Amino acid sequence: MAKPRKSLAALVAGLVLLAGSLSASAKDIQVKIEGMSFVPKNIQAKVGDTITWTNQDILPHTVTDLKKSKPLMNSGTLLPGASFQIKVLRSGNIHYGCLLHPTMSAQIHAGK
Amino acid sequence: MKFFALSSLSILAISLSAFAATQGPNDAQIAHIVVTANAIDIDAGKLAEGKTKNAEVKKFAQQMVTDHSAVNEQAGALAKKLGVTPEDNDTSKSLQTGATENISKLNSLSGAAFDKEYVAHEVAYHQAVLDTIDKTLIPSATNGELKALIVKVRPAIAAHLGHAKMLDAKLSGKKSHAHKHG
Repeated sequence: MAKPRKSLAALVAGLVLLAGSLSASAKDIQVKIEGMSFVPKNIQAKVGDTITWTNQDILPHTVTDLKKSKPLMNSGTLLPGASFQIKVLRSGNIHYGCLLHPTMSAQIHAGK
Repeated sequence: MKFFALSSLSILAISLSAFAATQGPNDAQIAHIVVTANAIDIDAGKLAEGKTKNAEVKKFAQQMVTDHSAVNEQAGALAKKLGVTPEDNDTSKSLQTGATENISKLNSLSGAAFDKEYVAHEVAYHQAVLDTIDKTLIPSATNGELKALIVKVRPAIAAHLGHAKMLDAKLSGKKSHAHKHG
């Protein structure tokens, strides 16, 4: 479903690639990681949209598909201030969370 | 085991009542309480990390060390920026007394008994710290940046409490009511 782009350097590279590929209707959905939560908790996205997480919390976190086999995305450790971005490639749902803090989770609902 | 864990934390409750009865800790004392509380959980985490054979307990302990170290780094940096020298006080002393008792108890245990006592204490400890934050530290802090840091730390303590409860339930063979990736 999602093509992961890791770390801030990858985010910059990703933005260059996206500049030529974003359709007029594609959105960049922003998610804040703060207060040990993903805000907003539920994302409605469409194929072609990008989703960008920014860690505005005081602790490191991850953005990881919680599916046990073949997770569709994993940011690795995001330090405070770091960002992670994916592009939605197909429809589906992802239940994701932080591998470091198991009380944190959220959902992506992607349609066509 | 849980009685022991709770009785040492009752010392903290009495100490905080003494503060509440007067005017609450000042900012320098608050800074000392924050640093002490973090250092205590770092020490307990390092002990557990080295002693446990349970992968989940080890992972939890490692996270406590990482997270509380990160918070202490920020607390220390803020204290330096504000020119505040953390001031020792009865609450910090109470926390330290409880910590010494806890470490002594943990050192006498091994295997599953160690894991259960460590995690049970982490539940009680994080609840006590959360109560201290809500009832004393946030209301008493006068410097805006110090108050903001404590407010920002609060969700981390609550999340640690949730994680500890989940682990405690698992070690006890009970279903946890604490939220997990849900």
